[in-house]
Amino acid sequence: MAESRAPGLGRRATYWLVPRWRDPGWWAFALNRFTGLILVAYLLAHFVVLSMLLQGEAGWNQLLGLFGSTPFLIGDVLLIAAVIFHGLNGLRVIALTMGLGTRRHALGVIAVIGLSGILAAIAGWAILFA
Amino acid sequence: MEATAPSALVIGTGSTGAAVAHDLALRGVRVTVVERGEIASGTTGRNHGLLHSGGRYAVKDPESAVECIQERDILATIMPEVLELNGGLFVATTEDDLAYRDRFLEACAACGIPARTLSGAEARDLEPALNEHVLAAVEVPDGVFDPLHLCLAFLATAQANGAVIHPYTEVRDLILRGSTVEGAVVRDRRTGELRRIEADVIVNATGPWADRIAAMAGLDVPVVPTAGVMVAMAGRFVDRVINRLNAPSDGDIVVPQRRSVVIGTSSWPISDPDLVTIPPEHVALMSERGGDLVPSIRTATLRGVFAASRPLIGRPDDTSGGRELSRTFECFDHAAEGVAGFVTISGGKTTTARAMGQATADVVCRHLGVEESCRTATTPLRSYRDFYRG
Amino acid sequence: MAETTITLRVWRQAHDSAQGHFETLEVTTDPARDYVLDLVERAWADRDRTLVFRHACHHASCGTCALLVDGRERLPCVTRVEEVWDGRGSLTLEPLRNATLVADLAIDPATMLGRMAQLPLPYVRTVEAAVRGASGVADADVGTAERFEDCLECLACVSACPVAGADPDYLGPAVLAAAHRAVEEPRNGSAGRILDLVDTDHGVWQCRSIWACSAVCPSNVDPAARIMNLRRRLWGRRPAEAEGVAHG
Repeated sequence: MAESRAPGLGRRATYWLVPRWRDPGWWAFALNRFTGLILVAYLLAHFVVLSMLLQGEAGWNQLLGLFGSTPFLIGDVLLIAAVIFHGLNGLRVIALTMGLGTRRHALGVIAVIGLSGILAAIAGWAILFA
Repeated sequence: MEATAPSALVIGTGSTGAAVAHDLALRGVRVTVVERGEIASGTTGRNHGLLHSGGRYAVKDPESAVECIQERDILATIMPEVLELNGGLFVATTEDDLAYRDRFLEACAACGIPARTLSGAEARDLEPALNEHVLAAVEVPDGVFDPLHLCLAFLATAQANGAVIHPYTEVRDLILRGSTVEGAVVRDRRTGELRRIEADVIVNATGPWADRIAAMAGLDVPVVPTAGVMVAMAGRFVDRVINRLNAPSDGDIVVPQRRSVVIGTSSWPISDPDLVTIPPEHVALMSERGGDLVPSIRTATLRGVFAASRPLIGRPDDTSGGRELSRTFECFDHAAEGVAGFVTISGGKTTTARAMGQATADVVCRHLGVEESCRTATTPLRSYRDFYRG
Repeated sequence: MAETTITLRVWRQAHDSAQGHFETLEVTTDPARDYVLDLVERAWADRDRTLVFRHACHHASCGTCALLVDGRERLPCVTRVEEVWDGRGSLTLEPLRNATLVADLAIDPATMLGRMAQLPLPYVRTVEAAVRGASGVADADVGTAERFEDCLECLACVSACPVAGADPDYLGPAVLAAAHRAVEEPRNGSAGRILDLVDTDHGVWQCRSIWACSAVCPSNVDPAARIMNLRRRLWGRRPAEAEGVAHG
């Protein structure tokens, strides 16, 4: 929709959410932000968890038991998928800035998403079933 | 500019209105320009952008031809930034075309149009996409312009000299006091509000709509809106304008426009320039005739089909459907008909817009008592981008 | 397909700060023959003369008619109706994003094009003319031809760019692509000054490599690749400058 020139900060923060379904570049951009938020949230959670070490061995072992449960393992798989995608996409963006792959941009996005999916599936198998 | 400087209101920002506004502003007149749509959204925007050397008119309409070559040279000096000056070729592909060559060369010489004869092979050296059966060609100083930016260049300069330009502002009526036109009632198309703009002289530069505006003052202007189709094909097959070496006919011009070529044109009279229906057979004809000159056109992808309405000056006895009417221009000083403060400029083509501006500004300045003479032939225009700097 | 009726959902808004809404207008069309701009003109001529829209050349040379057709940036003058409409449902027309609105479907390009005006950009480029003898052998004496720059200044790229929406001071893909052209083919030795102008937080460094600009450009400009190229030129520049500073 048409906008006046200077929308507020809150509005501007949502611009990556305006979907461009047919642009692979937008998918990569939106997923990059989404996985980025996941990673930031995970990092904070990680610090909180580490701080639990201060609570002593018994409490820590209880926590680890929780982390070994299936819901958390599934969360681990999603987290690994996020890390893999975010990293691979970051490499793709660096390559683009170097001038590599600028002609076949969509292919690069599909390759990154595809490869992320495959590696995440392997990791998922390893975490859940191995 | 003094607040007491004489004022003019120009209606229309096609090439004519833009050139008039520039000329008047340069002479110190306080100029206001109104345009009902975007700049150049009337006839000028839709022409194929051929900067005429005059070759096309040399045989049948030498008055137009001389105007063209003179103005082409002037525009090349004052606005080279918005012109592609790659030249043009008049190309003979049939014996009939070839037989036309001598008349053509004589006429060009008589009109002062530089013309260089080429063999078929030489023509194809310059433009490899030409029909392989090219028999001969004549090179002339045609060029290509981009209609919008040409108008913007005139308007940017006018603006820098104090002119105020209002797009999306539609003239609803003219204001008359007795038999003098004092201004116009305009509607801002954004808000719907009506307001009055007063000026010492009002210039009607609305092309095929000239009679509608003139009628608001009870006047009749013999403008015959005559439409012509253009067809754009994907692929820049040539860098030069390619013309058929023969009497003017339909589809005998191919003009490169960025990565497309535009083939034009045809001719049919219309009653309402606001909504032109394009006969499909005209479209097919363009591909066909254009393909005679540049065969790649026949297999290229169609990119656009559009029509422009030429503002031809009508003569009551014309029966040619518009093709035979002169392409020269005419300035109607309605004071001669008893209506003061109102001038209509019509006819012509973008190549001669500056000259149309001069003729009109001369008439207007006479009425305003402004003694400055025209300097537009020697004043380089500003960059069209300056229009947006405000 | 023969003549049929199409329902247009057209955005109406009186001016930039007014509330807008969709209006439904029906026009006849032959989808194989008509262009989307023809529909807009028909809607204006036959249905609602208050509709405000931009157009001039009707053949992708002026860039003024760009708008959103079903949410995607296009030039309606060269978009056939059958390319975007399969005969069912309506067709949605909206003005470009990330620009000041004049009214309805028309935007005011002054902000972005005013930024272009600050760069010394030529409009006509010089290219090697394609000269080949009739025998197909390349001629050693290759002439040059003049060509207009590809960019139509239609601002479709700016509309497509989420960053341009989020940051009003971002120079934007159109300006950056034009700057790259001026660096690629400098006239009057201005390349250094242009590189300075784009070497800012709101210049090349604000781009997020989304590539939507290049995806929607109707005229082969490829702004995204040009922005990346500008970055590489700027990298090469900085060590040299730093050295200059160190040696006084």
